[in-house]
Amino acid sequence: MKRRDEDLLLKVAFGDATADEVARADGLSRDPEASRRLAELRRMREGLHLLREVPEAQISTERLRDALLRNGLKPERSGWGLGWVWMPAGALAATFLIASWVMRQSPTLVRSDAGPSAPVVLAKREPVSKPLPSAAQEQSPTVAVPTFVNESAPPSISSRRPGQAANRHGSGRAKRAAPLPSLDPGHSEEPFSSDAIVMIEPEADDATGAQRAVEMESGADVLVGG
Amino acid sequence: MPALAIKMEASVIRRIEMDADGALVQRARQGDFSAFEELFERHRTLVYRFAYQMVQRRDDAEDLVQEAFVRAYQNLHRYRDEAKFTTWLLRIVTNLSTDQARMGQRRLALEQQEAGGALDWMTVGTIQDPVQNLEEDRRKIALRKALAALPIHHRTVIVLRDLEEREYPDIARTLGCSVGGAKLRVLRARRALRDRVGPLIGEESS
Repeated sequence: MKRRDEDLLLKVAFGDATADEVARADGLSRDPEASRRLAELRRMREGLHLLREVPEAQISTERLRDALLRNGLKPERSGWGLGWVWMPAGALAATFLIASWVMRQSPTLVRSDAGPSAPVVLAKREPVSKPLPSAAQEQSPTVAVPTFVNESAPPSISSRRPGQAANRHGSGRAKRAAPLPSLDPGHSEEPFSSDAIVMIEPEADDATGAQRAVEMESGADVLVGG
Repeated sequence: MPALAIKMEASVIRRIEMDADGALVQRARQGDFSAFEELFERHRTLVYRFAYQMVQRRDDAEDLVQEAFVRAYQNLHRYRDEAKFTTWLLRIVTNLSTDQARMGQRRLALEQQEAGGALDWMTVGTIQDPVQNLEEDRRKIALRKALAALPIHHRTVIVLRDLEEREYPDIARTLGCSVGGAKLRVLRARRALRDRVGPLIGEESS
């Protein structure tokens, strides 16, 4: 049998022949050898179909993941993508939040914007969202509508003296905590109005052994200084 | 007309599958491993079947599947969306099994001897009735061995076309050749297989 005819029978047996080729193969099939060969090839095809059965695979996703890790590849679990971009951005945001929280908590020196002789007072930064203080609160010498501050600017002498006088013998913490009256002439309140002042004497008290303290009704007549 | 409708439906399904695979590949490229896991779940059976037909051993086939998916993960950026993902995967398996075959020439020679022996046994064996020799199981064994004894390039196309029933354009893309070239390779491979099993099947019919 010619090779060309054999190839034709192969095509017919495996279903790859065109209509023309099938017609030609029909003509060939009158030859008994060709007919026998075609039957052989058809059986071969059927035999191949029997090979389609394969044992079940037992390869798992875990095995694949392990193989990837062994190959130095790192399978990402999340679907975020570009994780390496999110991490520093997240760290930056966290740092900013912590820093802003710490700044809110710590007291800072503030100065009212009434002029160069404005007293320096201690106050806490108020959150932006907090409502403005009421009129009654504005009257208080401790509030003095603090504005944020040029901390490098030296406080004026006039602003320093009352605090120093009143707390000359006190601790540093007492100085920070004490309410400081304003001596600013432009300020709406009366300087040394009706607030009580405690004078601390250098002599010790016999009963307690601590330094003697005298409470004044008003600071209006108190002369501050050496 | 119904045949045309079925053809169109198959083409639409293929398109949808391609789109779904493409989307998963896209996600996997962006680092979403769950997308790659889904690709693995979808196609591992297909890849395993092909690998098994190529190496004829379950363990070896599983190793091949694993290696193929590792290579695929490593080279996802090289995958071009115009080809089907499965075609690309099968191409990887083909290359891997070709490499294996090149390295395992000795083993192949042993297998060829074994297959030759099996054919001798089938044709000259002790069983009196030749029709009995061609019982289904034995025919399967003989064919499997004959297939295993084929050179790797012939085995690949026989498995792709006659066992996995891939379309010629798919085979062409898998092998990296034209459709006409794929048809020619399939024809040559069948011819080679027939030369090995022909005498056996001829006896059955006589």
